[in-house]
Amino acid sequence: MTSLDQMPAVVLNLVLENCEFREIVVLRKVCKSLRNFIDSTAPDLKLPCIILKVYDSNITINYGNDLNIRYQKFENGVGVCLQEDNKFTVLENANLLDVVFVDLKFALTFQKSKMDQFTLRWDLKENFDTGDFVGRLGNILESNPLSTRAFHMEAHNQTEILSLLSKLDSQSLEELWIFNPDKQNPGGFFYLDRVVELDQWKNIKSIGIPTFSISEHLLPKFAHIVWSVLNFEEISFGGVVALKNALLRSPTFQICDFYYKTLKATDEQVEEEFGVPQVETRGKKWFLNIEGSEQILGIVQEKYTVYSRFLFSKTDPNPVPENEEDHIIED
Amino acid sequence: MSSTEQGTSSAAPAEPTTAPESAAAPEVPESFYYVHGKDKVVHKVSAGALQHSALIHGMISNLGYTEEQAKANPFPFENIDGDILQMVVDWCNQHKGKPTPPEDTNLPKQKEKLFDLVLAVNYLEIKELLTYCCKQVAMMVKGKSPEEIREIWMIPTDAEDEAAEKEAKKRAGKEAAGETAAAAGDAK
Repeated sequence: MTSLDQMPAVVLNLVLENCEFREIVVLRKVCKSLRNFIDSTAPDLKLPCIILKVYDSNITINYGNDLNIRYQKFENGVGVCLQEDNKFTVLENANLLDVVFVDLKFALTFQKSKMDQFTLRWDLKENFDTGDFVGRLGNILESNPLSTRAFHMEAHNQTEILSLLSKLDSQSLEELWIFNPDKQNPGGFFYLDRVVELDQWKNIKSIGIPTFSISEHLLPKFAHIVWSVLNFEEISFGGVVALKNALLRSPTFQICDFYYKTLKATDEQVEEEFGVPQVETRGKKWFLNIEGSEQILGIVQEKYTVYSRFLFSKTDPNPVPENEEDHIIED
Repeated sequence: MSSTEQGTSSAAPAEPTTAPESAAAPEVPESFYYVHGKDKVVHKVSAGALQHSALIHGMISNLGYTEEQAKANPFPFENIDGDILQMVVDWCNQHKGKPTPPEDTNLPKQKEKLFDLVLAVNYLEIKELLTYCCKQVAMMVKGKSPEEIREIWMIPTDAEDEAAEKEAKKRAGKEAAGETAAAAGDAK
């Protein structure tokens, strides 16, 4: 009987084209000739996402389509299982990170088509060298720039972000979220000065950095971003005005939602700049004309006990009731 | 563009036709060719149906056989089992001149037949059918473990393979040693 491993290359390639990640992994384990064939032709894995979660004694990788692999540290080695059935295969005397990186290397180097999401998150209580982990991941991506629409990362510092972000395909990346790994105590300052200089930054359409505070001096670098959620410990009035002016000129901007603890300006100063506001229960609203556009710039300021918020958004003029048109001021 | 150009079209006049029907082209009598597999059973197939096979289409396109010549010279495909060739001929007849559907559910479910069909279709260069067959093979892999795949398709494990290879090498080594010894003997 003719068998699978004796099929001509044309046929095997067609079969692999119709296989998903799980089947390719399985076929690679069937025999040496299939493994060699797969390794030499490197079929696209067509993964929708890779979501990595690192815990103290285990690591999970979600490859999308409900495929979750769990790697667990055992006394005598490493257990690997499908999250759904929890049946561990134990690799004796193996090292958790080594096992994870062998599998990640396979997935990250074979994946060619554009993924929807690449994510790295941590949930660590013990000492763990996150820099080393990110560095190893970055080394894998070095030779094969990963194509993904979105990149989400809990990062401890700018170097960690740079290690991965700089190696993603800049043409594909549209969305970037950076989170504080310390979920109990969000906040703290995050340097972004080198990130905003990357090629990858220029094509990003939406960005979220909700749990770190960033420098207001970087705000001009956000003018091309369509959609952003930002956070500032402290922002000067000059910073807000510069942002407003940059957004008024930006052809791409749609929404900029930012939270701040301290605004170094009085209400009078704000009203002098933006005009007489429309006062609502939760805050104030302004509508500014955008030169050369039919749309208008809506500004909402809401004040809360710890964080307050400015929401800038480009909208159609229709939602403004007629009797409030007086408040629209010429910019 | 003048609307009278399509005056003879048989399409309903009320409905504006998007493309002229190919039926409007002058009728050419259909030519037939003959093929047989390992079992020597001859199948009469129209040139239209055979167009699916790039290999046969290439063979017949400049042949200009008369009906008698075609009948006297069936194409022999000795490497294809009779029942497999029958399947291929049936598929070509069913899909003659038709756009092939995105899914084809009439493929054999038994793995032995499917693999033989894949090989025949690959040899005859029937692109669409090959794609369906390969999809079917991929479907058979779904949800199986490496062990199950090895079992279903009787693929030896690497250990078994290595043992067989070692044995072969040993034999080859012995023969080579014999040859060198003989050569050395010759040189003396």
